[in-house]
Amino acid sequence: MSNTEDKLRQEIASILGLEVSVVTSDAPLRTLGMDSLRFVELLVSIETLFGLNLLDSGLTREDFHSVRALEACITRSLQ
Amino acid sequence: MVRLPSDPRKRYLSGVDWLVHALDHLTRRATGCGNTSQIVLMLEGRLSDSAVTWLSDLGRRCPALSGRTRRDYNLAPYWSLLPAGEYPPVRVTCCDGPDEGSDLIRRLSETVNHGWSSPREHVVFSRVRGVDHDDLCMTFDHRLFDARGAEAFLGLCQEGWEAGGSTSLSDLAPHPAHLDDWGTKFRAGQQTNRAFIRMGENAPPRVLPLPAKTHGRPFRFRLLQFDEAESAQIVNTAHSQAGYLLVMPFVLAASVAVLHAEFRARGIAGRDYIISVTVDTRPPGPVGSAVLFNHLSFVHFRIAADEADDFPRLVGSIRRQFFDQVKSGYSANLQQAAYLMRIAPLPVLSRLMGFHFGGEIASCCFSYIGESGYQHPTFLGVPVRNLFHMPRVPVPPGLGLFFTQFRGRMNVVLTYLDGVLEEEAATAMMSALSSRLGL
Repeated sequence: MSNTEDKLRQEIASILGLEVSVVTSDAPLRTLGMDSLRFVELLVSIETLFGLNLLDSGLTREDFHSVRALEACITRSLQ
Repeated sequence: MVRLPSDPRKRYLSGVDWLVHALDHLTRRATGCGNTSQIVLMLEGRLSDSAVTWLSDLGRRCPALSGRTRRDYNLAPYWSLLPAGEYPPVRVTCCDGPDEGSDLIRRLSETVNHGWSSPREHVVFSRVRGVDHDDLCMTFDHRLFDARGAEAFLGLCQEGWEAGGSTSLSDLAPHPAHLDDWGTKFRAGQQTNRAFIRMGENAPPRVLPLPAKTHGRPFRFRLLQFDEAESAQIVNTAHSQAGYLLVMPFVLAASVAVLHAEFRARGIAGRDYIISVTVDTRPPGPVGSAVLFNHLSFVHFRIAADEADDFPRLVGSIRRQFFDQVKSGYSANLQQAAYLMRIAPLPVLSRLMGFHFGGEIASCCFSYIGESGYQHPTFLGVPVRNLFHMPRVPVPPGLGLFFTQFRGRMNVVLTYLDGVLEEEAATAMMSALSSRLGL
């Protein structure tokens, strides 16, 4: 598991009030309880952690479906 | 920190609770009846007589239902309970449903517009008897419950029923007086004030004119109920047009677009829209112990008319404003700053609420509840087919759109003070909204 994935899992767990162990790499964010408000909180966290503003990136299901998908999106954006 | 001795009959009100009290006062002054709301449970059978007795007995099981607001010697407002043994029963009314083909919503609106029978009444149940089933309405006082809290309260009722009488309804979860940490509150007040000044730069916002005489007027309601397939389609459309998981911004944009069309049709021009959106501040998941009182804050969206004309641009604007307000801590600041307002008497605070926006509160009120606080398949022994809300809204603006989801089914209620919209316009708005949602 990459450092980026670790950070994302911790951030998502914090936003959703969950244990980090519950936020697995492939768990759909929607099933973890992610709603509009928490999703925007996640976008704000990503900007803080990685210096990336993903708001205008398309915000597709493929990119944000799971922690693993989001990690791949962030890695692509940083390259 | 100021520590006050705890009193089980006393629960201090938060700053947001006090704002809700002010909105109730505002609406009561304008219409004669406060900021009540109503949850409608559409049942697939009839409630038993013992279930009705159970509902009436809730007054004894939940003492908070007969509380009232007072001020402590330190001037902090609190919810005060009656002494044990003096709790009145909850009123349960019964009426026949409308004839087939008649307007069920109009019949259901009678109780929410009726008003309370005493200053200590904050919940009433109304059983509307259909041909082979009941619809049950819980009319509630927004000073005691917010929308998800009221749903969760019904859940506790169901759990108490299942447990044969024992219930956790009797505990009044303590809330500190919050007479400390003034630095944080004042800084939050500063941030909120600055944000409101920016929001109100082009104030007053566009509003639909209120009728000349508002006192005694009821609220009217229109309901859209979508099945699971339609609701899934709306969510998919939201994902593609607003972004993954951004359902609230999408349905808000659809609502603003429909509202804008009505304003345009009536030739109301100039200035921006300001939409007041209620957000639940509880953690995701079950409501837990935060059932009573208000656990919410607000975000505000300022929409220019030319943005409202262009739907993709409108969605983008809402998304951007949502991001900026979350990033700046707008809702959290407002929650903290609201503690500073508790010193203000309600007649004063209710007048101050329109200060930044040229005397108006908003063009329209809005909320979206994506996860219902009611998680049970039955209520008091009867399967639940659907659940939706019928809220009165503050006057002004006397207009609101409210989205809820129940077991994968989306419900939308348009609420408006009688006279703010013509019947035909309300019908047209709901039809347009359905189209705008992608159906």
